[in-house]
Amino acid sequence: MFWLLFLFVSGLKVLLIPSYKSTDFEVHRNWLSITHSLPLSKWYFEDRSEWTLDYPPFFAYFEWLLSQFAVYFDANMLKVENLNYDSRTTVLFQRFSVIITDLVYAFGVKRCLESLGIATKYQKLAGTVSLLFNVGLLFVDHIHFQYNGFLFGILLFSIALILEKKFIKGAFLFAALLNFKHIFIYVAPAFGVFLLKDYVFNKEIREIVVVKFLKLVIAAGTCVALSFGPFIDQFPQVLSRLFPFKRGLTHAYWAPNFWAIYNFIEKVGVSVLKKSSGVSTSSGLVQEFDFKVLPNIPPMVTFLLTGLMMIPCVLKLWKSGTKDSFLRAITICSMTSFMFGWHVHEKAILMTIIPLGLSSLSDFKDAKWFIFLSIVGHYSLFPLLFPIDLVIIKYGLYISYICAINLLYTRVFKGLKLSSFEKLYLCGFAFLTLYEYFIQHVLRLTHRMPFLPLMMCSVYCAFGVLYFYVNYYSEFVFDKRGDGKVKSKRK
Amino acid sequence: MFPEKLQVFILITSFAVALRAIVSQYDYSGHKTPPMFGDYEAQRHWQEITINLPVLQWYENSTRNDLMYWGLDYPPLTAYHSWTMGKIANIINPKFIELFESRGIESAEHKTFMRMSVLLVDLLVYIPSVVFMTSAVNSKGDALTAISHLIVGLMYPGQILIDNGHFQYNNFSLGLAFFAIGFLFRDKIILAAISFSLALNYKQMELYHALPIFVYMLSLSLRKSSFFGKISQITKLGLAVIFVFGLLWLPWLSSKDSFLQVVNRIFPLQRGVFEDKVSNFWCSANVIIKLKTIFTNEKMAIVCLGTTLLASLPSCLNLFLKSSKKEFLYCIFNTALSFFLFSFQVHEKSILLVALPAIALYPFEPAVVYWFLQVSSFSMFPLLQKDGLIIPFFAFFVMFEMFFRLFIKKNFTISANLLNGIVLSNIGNLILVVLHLFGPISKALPHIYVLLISVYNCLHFLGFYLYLNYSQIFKINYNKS
Repeated sequence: MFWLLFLFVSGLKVLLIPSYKSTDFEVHRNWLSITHSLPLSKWYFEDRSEWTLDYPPFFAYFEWLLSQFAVYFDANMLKVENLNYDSRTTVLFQRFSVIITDLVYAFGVKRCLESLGIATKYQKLAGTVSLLFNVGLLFVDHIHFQYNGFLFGILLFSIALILEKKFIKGAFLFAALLNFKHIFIYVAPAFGVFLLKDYVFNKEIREIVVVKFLKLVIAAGTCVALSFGPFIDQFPQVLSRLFPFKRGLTHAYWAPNFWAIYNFIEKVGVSVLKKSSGVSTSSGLVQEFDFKVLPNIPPMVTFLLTGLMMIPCVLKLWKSGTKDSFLRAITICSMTSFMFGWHVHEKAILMTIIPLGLSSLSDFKDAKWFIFLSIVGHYSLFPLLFPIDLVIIKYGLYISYICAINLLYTRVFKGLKLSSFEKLYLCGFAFLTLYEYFIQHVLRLTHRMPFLPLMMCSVYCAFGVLYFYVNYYSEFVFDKRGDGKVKSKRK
Repeated sequence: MFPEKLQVFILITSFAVALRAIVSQYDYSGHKTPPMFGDYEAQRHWQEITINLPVLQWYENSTRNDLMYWGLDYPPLTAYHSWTMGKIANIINPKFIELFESRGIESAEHKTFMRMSVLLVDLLVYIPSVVFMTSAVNSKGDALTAISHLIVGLMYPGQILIDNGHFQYNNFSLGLAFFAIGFLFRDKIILAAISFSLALNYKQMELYHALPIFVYMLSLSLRKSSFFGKISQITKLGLAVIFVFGLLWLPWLSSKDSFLQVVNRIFPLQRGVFEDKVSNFWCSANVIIKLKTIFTNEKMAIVCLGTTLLASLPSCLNLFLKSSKKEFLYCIFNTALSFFLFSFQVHEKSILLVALPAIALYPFEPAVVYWFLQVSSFSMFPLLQKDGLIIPFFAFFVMFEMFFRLFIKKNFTISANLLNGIVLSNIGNLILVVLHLFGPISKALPHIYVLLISVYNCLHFLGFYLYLNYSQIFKINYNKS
């Protein structure tokens, strides 16, 4: 059944091939061409395109590998100077490369479901559908264009290995993942602490602590060496590409996090105090801007805040050291980084939703939060898919996904319900939609306040995400669980 | 939040809408192929004609209405629909429908408008009709069958690929026909007559369904106990039909000439027995006997009429004598298939008219219906390939096949022989299609693969015809579901 569902969703992905694609398509085409036609030593120096290589070396190797096949489709896509090249075959090749590498995601999902020890038919179905059909991945990978599917596959695989107590292999894979896309550093604290607690300082594993620790370090070190080794003499250049700090606190479209609310208060403050504001934060320009009312936030503050906010979670994980708390800690760590991080993209919400999808299969409350965050988080991705032809597609897929997971989870957990307050909040999305497609046109506000739909979307979602964050975090730290826990056989 | 049943319903319908919107992003028939373009331009041209000319000139050749350039050849309801869309186009961008000037217009904005207009019919007519029909047919069945029936109706690849891909509004007339079937199942005969008359007035090809509907209504009326009851029922039906036709044809009823003009446009005998390569009997027989050289078009039309009626006779007679709802569904399938196989002027797209009763029949013959629907999609492959719809064709094939394996195979008992047959038949079609795309081309027989696809699927259709006639006449009473 698993593979039948995977083939079904693959069919859907193939159908999506001619959809609008963002500049990320050109980003990846450019990386294909860089890795294919330039010597390794120039990969991180090449700057003819504005979309310079800014992922770690493993991802560059991955692009190089893809380019070996791309030659047989359309060699012109591999010329660095062919900027914005998107012939029919190029589109087909790149789209299919995402669809096929999603096999890694499927294997990751399957392995994870197995190692979680899912017992009942509906739990299995809920897990398979909620992860394989994840509408956010469809939006970001198969419309917007990125390769998150296979990266999440590696993440899930490494989680599965760690759950199976294959710590070294799991650590190795996670280190590899970091060398594919360094944004996964968001969840590294959870991995690090859990490995220390359940492996290095676990008395049941009868080995010398130092030896165990060294094993981990060697596993991770090997990965880093394989990845960065060839670039050792240009290390500062690579780092400057990986961590560009010239961007602003928030992305052009504010990801629904703490800073969206912060920006919003600033905007309101400016208009109340009638101060002239500088560059609009939601104008579509990636640029730093000056706050007039609230204090400016330098990058360091966001790092400190993120680190600080992770401490309770990590301590709790250290104390309990169970598999459940490992999964929850991953969710919370990624959510913390999403909430307070520097220049966070809206897409990063998937790093929270997907791990949450794992813990939701065996816990009543997690299931409820999974449904809640799926509704809020995937809605917040809508601004990515702005062309008019996508409106019906995004709403159609989103609504059917939400109905599917809701139906399945209410089968798994009898009496699963959102509170009236939460339902009321979710009704707000209907209003946001109405405003964007009807009210603003009827009231002719499209010219006077063109930014309003975007701002409302991101601020309204930010409150939902914050609500989830506070509740989920406190439930985790203060152990407000145990009631209504579902009986599921564990291996 | 919502009751479970409602959620299932929302899940399926919104997915169905999304699928249609996704297919809308592909190319349409006649994309960038002047001077004639294709069905997309035909539909747009009708908006242009109906908006700019007075009603009586819509079907008339004149300096302002060149009938050789996609002259209107569908009945009045289509014309009114075009007129309504033209009015909307006029609000959005008058350039879409400027007389002469707008010919062959192809912009992203216009494509969005046209695609949305098809989706609008999906939302207002086709999807509600499938919901209504499936709930009427399954009113006594179990919930799971009803759900899978709804999915089959809304996910049938052929209809989506033709309407939202190739570009047509079959969803309008097919939806009205579904409403007619649904009303008949709910014993609302007058409403059924009205819906079906509307369907006939949208596309004359709905005649494929006319015989069984007429026979069924007649036999129901004759089953009324009193003589007065019989007469009054038939009178009511007659009045309903006359009312709908009278209303829609009103502008052309003033003179015999204008009336005949429309009729001649709708039933053009000069076009020939079949177009391109069709998976029907005549096209396949044409491989051996060159029909077009033996018969004139007029004679051929009579031969076609005779064989079609003969082929429909057993099934219709059986329906007339027994007059049950289940029999009716079999009969409407068998008759529509007879029309497709044997009638005059058949298009490859006409198979959608057979797919309609096949979809309705699904709860009684799930695997056979699934098989038929896949075969019917394959039979349209050469057409879809011309429109640049190869990718969605294969995507749909896989999705529909997975639906079969996940849903139909698990919830119904299907004999192993039938399952193997389906697999082999699909493999055969896949091989032919791949050959058509990549096979060696011989100069002597340039259309050999298209012809092979036609003949292969025609043989399937003949098989379906025989099997479902046999089922209707001999099997129904033995296995009541």
